[in-house]
Amino acid sequence: MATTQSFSTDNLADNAPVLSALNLLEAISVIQSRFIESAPQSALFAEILNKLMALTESQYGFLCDIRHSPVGEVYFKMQVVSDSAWKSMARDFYERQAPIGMEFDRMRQMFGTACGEGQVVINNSLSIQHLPEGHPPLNCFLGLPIFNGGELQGMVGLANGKQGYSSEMAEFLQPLLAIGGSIIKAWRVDSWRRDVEEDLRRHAMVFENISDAVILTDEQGIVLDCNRAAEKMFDLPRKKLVGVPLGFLIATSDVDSVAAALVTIAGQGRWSGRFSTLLGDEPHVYESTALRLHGGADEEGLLAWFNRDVSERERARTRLEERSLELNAILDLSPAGYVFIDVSDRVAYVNPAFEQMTGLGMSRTIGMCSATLDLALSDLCAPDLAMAPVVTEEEDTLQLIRPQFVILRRIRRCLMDASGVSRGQVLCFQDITRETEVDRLKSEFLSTAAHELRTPMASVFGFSELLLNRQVDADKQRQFIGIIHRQAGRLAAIINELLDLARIDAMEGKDFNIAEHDLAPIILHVLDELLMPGDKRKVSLMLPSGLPLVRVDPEKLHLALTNVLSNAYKYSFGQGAIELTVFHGEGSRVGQLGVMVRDYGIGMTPGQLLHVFERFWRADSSGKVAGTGLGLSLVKEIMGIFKGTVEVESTPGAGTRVTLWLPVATS
Amino acid sequence: MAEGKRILLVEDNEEIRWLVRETLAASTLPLVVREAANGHEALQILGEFSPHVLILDVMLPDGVDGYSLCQYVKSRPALFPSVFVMLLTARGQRSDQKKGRMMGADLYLVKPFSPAELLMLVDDHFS
Repeated sequence: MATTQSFSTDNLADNAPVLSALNLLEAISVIQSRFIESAPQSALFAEILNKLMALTESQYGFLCDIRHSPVGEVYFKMQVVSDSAWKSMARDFYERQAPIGMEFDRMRQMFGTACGEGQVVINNSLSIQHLPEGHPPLNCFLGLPIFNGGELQGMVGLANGKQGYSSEMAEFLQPLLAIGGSIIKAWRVDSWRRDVEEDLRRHAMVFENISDAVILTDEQGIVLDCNRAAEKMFDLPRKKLVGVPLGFLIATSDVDSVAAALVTIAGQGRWSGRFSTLLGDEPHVYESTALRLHGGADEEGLLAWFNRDVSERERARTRLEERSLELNAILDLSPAGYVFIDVSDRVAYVNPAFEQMTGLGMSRTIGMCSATLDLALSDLCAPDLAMAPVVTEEEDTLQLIRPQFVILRRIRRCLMDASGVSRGQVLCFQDITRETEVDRLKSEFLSTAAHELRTPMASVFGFSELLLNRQVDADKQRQFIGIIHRQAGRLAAIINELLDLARIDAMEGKDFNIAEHDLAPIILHVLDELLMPGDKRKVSLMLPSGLPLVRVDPEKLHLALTNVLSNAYKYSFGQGAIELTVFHGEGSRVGQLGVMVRDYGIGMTPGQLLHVFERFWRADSSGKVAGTGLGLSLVKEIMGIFKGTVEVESTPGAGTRVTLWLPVATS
Repeated sequence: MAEGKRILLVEDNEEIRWLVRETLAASTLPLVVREAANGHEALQILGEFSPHVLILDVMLPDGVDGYSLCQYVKSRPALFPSVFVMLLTARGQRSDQKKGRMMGADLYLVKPFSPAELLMLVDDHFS
């Protein structure tokens, strides 16, 4: 509620104009002094409004200034609203609306055209339809434009004056409004200045901190100013850059020249291209754009050069190119087949190894969806073996019969990027035919070995049980014990030879003492120690003198020769000669010595000859001939480690020739 | 045809044949035992001799093995009614036994075997 004395003060009725003038003067001086002591803006506006309300005995009032939005629209910014007798809802309305500004049009609706034309508006018989909800009724209104220097700065609205409003009253209040106008103006100028300063500060900050090197030059390319990134670009402080022609700073050799850029800018107003600088030993490449900022035909222009360091990007691109070259080489050379399936589940790439394995090349498979590829693959498989059971989700096995027999292990890998989004998948196909075959052979060997051990074991076990449980006459007893003894010996021989083979398999000759040796003493030693019970034949030896040395392990050669000789004895049943001949190889065998053992025994058919090196295979399966079926396998392994070979020729009924070919020592 | 219980033994290993022969000699039953050293011999004998019990080595030389002999007799019930086939073999793997059963074998005996057990199995079959 206004506390200042009013026009209607009864006891001073006669002196009312004087009193009012005094009040006005007092108000002006209070506000001026507050302004001088730099009271806050809002306090000054409140002071002005309060004085105006007191002087006009108004119930309600507001004061606002006129503003222009960034897009040029005019609006009121409510600065202060009187707090007298306002209902809370109305206050809410203003408080909500005021901060964001109220549209001029709405204000015009509410308060008439007052401020639009800068005219004082007086209405003492108000009937306002569109008051905000909860706004108290208004019966009279005074609208006062606030001017400064002929410019409309804002307005004051007063309502429900005790005695209504008059143009005299408005005239009377002018000095106070003028003070308000100058305050608004001063405040506005001040805030403009602050805004401009703020803008400048922001722009300078952007200019300084932007990662692009920005250089300002005149139209001759002389540097006027630059930012921090530009200092980095040339590795020189700003003060050393200013005044220097840009052409001096930028190497012209490999990329665009500044001179050419200046010509283009002079013609077209802008230029873009590439610059390069040398920082230390490292060349830096910049993508550059230059613009003429202003300057007409007769005015000196300002050029801005924006330079972005793309060296890192260029290096990354080069690295990527190199990487993809490497990857292509790997994929081309890899023995494993690779298929890339893209995000849309289509084949994007197959490598040459995959084509070699399956006959499915790029031209047939590109764009195929993965299910179609699966079908194409199962088409190549044997019908009943199309898909082996899936081992894991990522791994399974395929057995192809077309275009060739091949067993493939297929491994799937989904490609995920760092955020876990699928980028397609890679299929890898490994040819495991050989591994699988080796596994099969191993298990076959194991079951054959068990079988071979079980047969003599059956004799040992069975006959010994008969001896234990039955009354057997002395003659039979002897025979049984003879069988048991012979078969036990056979078991021992099989085990020994299995161990010899296993050792060679495992050591691959690392335990061989291979050196240069004279063949003659080794052969003589073998013949000397050879023991064939019940066979009186002697080996007839043809051993030329002056033989070259061979690279062998004498002990192992001894074993090999003994095996070959004992076969010759066993399969000739005491009939015919056993011959051992040493001779020089001819033709493709030049540089090798042949050690040939010949018998005139039962021989073998061509069909039998095919199996001669198979483990446990025997020319006689009746059990009449002692042996394990491992002898020639062992000979072959030993000769392999000597880098020699074994040759077997045979005619059924006429005998067999086994030749060991040994390479002659070269040194 | 000979009186008594007829047994045909097919085994290429002479010692094992001897062992089986000796084993069966202790039987209390009147047994008539014939022997073959390979499949071809066995087929010849089967033409004139319908055994009650057939003891077969699985791995036989010259193409006709124990499995095929087993299948041969089991697929001709008119010629070989209620023949009892015992496979006698050094092949001890489960897959081999399975194959034997598929071919119709009644018993699968793995070497080395106990002569007493073989005799008991034969005697049991006839009792």
